[in-house]
Amino acid sequence: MTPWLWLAAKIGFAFAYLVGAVPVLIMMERRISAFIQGRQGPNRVGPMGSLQPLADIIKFLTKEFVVPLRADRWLFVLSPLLVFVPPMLGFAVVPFGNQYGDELLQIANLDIGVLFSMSVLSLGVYGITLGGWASNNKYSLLGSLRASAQLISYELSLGLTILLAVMIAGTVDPVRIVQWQIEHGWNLFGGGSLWRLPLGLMGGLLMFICALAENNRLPFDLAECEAELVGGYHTEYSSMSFAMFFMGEYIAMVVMSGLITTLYLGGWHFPGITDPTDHSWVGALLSIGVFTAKVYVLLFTYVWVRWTLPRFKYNQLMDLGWKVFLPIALFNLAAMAIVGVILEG
Amino acid sequence: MDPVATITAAVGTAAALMMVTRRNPVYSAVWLLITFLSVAVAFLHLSATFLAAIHVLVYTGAILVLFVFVIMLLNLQEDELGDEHPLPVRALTAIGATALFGLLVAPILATPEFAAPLPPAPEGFGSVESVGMMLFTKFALPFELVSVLIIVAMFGSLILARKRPLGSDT
Repeated sequence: MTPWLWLAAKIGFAFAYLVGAVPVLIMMERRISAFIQGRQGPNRVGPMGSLQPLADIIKFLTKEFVVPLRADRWLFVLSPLLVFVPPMLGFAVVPFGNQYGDELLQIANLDIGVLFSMSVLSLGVYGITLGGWASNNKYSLLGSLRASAQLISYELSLGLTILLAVMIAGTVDPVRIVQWQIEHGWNLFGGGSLWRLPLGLMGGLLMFICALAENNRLPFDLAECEAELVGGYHTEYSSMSFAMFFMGEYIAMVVMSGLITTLYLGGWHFPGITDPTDHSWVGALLSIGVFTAKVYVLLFTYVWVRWTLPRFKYNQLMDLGWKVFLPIALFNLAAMAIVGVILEG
Repeated sequence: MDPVATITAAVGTAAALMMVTRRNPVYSAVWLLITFLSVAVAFLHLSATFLAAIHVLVYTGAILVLFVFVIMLLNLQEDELGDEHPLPVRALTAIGATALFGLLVAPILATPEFAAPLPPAPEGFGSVESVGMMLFTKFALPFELVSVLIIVAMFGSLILARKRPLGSDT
């Protein structure tokens, strides 16, 4: 196949992978929440209620799209797209599998690597803030304000934990980070060195917690916060425009899980299942399978946390971000630099 | 002419014009976002990939978000925005600004190096490694001094934002 066809095929696969994850996540969310709360959960639509997401989609598609009278029409319509697109772009550098032949299973191998994901994912906040402002609704505006302050606060710690993984592996290229972990062990466990073990554990855990905050998930979902703000930034949105926010959040979760998998959990490799030298289609499929399994373990944890922990208060959220996570992340990074020098010297 | 550079420059300039001419500050911020993104594309086009990523991360991902945050926090209504300047004043301002810009650009255009085609970027130019190497060797002192400057600015804003002046206890 020509390079262009390969690129198109990989983009198509990634798109299907991300969008296809949304109904699965809706189902996971409903069933797991029901299990945790001791309820039955959806069980009427299709076998085991498995067609419930389809029913949701039909409902969204057939509802009316209402633009509030005094809303800012342009930004109101544009915002759901701004939530939807950046996370999709962020997936471009995540290696979702090993190689097939000479072709890396990664859409774009950029020399800035994970920095690309970081910078693109940071654009997701605009959809939320502008959408809430354009709605011309007090609750939406409050949700937007909270979202922008929260995302700036947690992005710092998130960036530092990403840098920690980069420092352990010594490269920003995600493919080489995965390669490094295949040779030395997961970054979560310090990449095979006892010295780095506590730092890796701390970094991985912190990255996951900050990812919860970045994706506006409970216990950090202050931007929507039904109990105080009706629906937060998406109060005024209906039908597909609401569905876009909804899907954007889920896709961002998948992409963030993919990043955590790549940076801390060894990417597409699992000893005994995948063989890094196997470049046949069997090896490629197995590696995609392992990557998917790791991503879904993280996604399960997202849902699990959501239905287990209560929401923070806003001041607690800010205190946690600035006075706890940021110092820990900074300390981690400094300690890693010292350990790195000791190990090399 | 290089089509990519031309399009990025056109989009960036047009967005910048839209930014300064919008009355609603939120719209100005959105146009500024587009300007920032086209600057990032221009960096990419010049093989400065690391700079492009950091530009998006810092300017659009953090600084502009803070701008938007403040704009929304104030949430100015139409009557609070003040009167618009009369058209002659605005036209004169535009002419003056353009003239100043021309004055600054003229010497650059006049240099003989400007007309010569750019040499191809050396291997690894603009990558994380090469930028890091430069920052910690050749430009180590300026780099560290800038961080001092930023801390000074931070303390300055902290002192300005204090409810009571320094020295008065409790």
